Amino acid sequence: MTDLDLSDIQGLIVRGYRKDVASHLVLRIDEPGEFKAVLRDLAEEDAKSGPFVTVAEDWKDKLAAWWRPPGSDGSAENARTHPGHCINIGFTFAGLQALGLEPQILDSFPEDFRCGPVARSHLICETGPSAPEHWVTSLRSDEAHVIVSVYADSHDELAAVTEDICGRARDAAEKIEQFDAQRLNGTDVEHFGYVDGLSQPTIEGAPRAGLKDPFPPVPAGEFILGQPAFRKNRVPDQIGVNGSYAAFRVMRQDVVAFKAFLKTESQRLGIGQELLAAKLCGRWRNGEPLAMRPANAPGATIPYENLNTFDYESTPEFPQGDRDGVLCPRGAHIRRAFPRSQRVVDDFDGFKRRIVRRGMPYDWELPTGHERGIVGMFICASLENQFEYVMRQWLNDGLFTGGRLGRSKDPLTGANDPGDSRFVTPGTPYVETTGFPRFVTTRGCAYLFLPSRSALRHMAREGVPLAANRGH
Amino acid sequence: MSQQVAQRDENFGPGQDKDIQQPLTLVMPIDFKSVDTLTELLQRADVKMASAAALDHVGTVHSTRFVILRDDEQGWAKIAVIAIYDGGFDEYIRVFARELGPLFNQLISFVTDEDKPPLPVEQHVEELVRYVAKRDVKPANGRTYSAFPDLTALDIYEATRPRNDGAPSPA
Repeated sequence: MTDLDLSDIQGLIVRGYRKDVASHLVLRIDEPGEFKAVLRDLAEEDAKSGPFVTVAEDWKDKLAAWWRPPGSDGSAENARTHPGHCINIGFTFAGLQALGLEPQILDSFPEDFRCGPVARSHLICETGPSAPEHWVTSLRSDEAHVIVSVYADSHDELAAVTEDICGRARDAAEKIEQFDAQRLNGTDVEHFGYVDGLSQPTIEGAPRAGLKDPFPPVPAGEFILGQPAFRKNRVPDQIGVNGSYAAFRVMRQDVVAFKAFLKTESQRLGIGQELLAAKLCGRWRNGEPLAMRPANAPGATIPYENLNTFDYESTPEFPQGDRDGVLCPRGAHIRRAFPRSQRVVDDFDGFKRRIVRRGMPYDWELPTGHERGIVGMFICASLENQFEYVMRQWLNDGLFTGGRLGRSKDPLTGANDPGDSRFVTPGTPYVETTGFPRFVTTRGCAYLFLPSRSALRHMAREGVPLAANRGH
Repeated sequence: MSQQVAQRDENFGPGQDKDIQQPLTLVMPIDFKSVDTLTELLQRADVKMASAAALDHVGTVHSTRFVILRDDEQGWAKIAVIAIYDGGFDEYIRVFARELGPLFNQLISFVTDEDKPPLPVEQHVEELVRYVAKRDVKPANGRTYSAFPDLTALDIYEATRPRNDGAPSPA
């Protein structure tokens, strides 16, 4: 059994907070010395020092001592079971440089993180309208140093916490952007209408945070540096252990185009819009997987807890399987993002490139118009082997597995071009649709290092003992 | 029928059909005096088994073989690595460096090119990619025939492999 120090690992890595609202503050460090003082307070779980970074250990015994923003008495009903807000922090490579870390530490970070998503946009298929030149300014510059993410139960608490953090950092850093997000009507539904975030990996040694998972836990080192992993990951010197990486992404959803596509294509194909939506995703919009609820079966019959208990290959646990994609198309979104025991290239199954996803919808009124999408983190221990690989090989190409996908892309999130986009599903009804556009466009991306609490202390004031660098 | 054949000749084949199958003909000069040693290496059972296991793991290779070209009168020799694979060239070579690094390291130690990549290739992947691209001999007519140009190795593997889910297995 993996021994994880949950008091050292940022909480977001091992569990979602299920908060209703969030703000991601993009900071530029102007005074590294002053900013270290801010970090020092954020690293200490001491309400007297102000707000602090949320770690992964159980918070049930800590609620009384949780920091509360001025004016909050903590009397809300939910304060008895969970805190009113959670905070996490990530650094870009430019941020680590701005903080003045030693060259030996900086040089020990892997190339993917050091280069960042702008330089590596071709490796994650951020092209055309998703190319960096179209991103929000803050995320295509070297000025995005730190992203502080605050998740809260209410707008009031969120505003109070973010205001407090910005106030404390006032003399040290400039807030150059703020991305706000909010659950839609308190649900887990995103703007295309699908229940989102259902499939999350179970991390070995961490408390199970999601739905019932029929598969073996994923080695912790796939998400937490310094722990055993499928592949050997480079652990940055001194501050790497118990840290992780995240691709922070802002993704615009073209809801109007998606709805129009569902309407016109379902009419042309002679099938219901909901069935077409389910075929594209691999789940019905209420979250029920096609692999468990075929086209002609009644809906809303699968217990929520069981929405992940299926597989595509025939296994002892799931003898039926769905290798041909008769139930869930081989090219559907969830089957690309997580192929389960299906044979894939470079591996014998699809279990070795899992990613923790923490996203929340946004809905902004901008000078350029109304914009909807998802903002959040894709968390993993290797951006190259997990996030970038899945983006490039699984979501934006079809050669990674059988099923005659050709060079096709994920119909929901892929960088599709009407000139060659194609989605086919066998079975009844047979669906073949072509000429559809991309429905999701990247508005910005940042590669973040999510340091452990002890690493934060070290970054704030050198000399504090660190967890042993096991360097798996 | 003749129209179909004409269409195949013009538009089908590795490298032509949506870039699914690609040919590789990597030809590298080797030390003539080492030909026997290199041949022995390639014929070793453990090397053949390790190569096959790595290729199975990769899953994008349709076929591959090593061929030694030699002219005893002139006193030169070359080794050719010939393959049909799926997908992009760079990705293919990177995967090979990772999966078959030890074999490539031994192979390249016999190569006499001055600009050959430094070893081990696992730590010099991009240099290997550039070197292989330079030494990849393209088909003279730009074509490579394939009977199944629009199928990947995994498409074929799945279509021919016995099933255990109740569906009919291939004969």
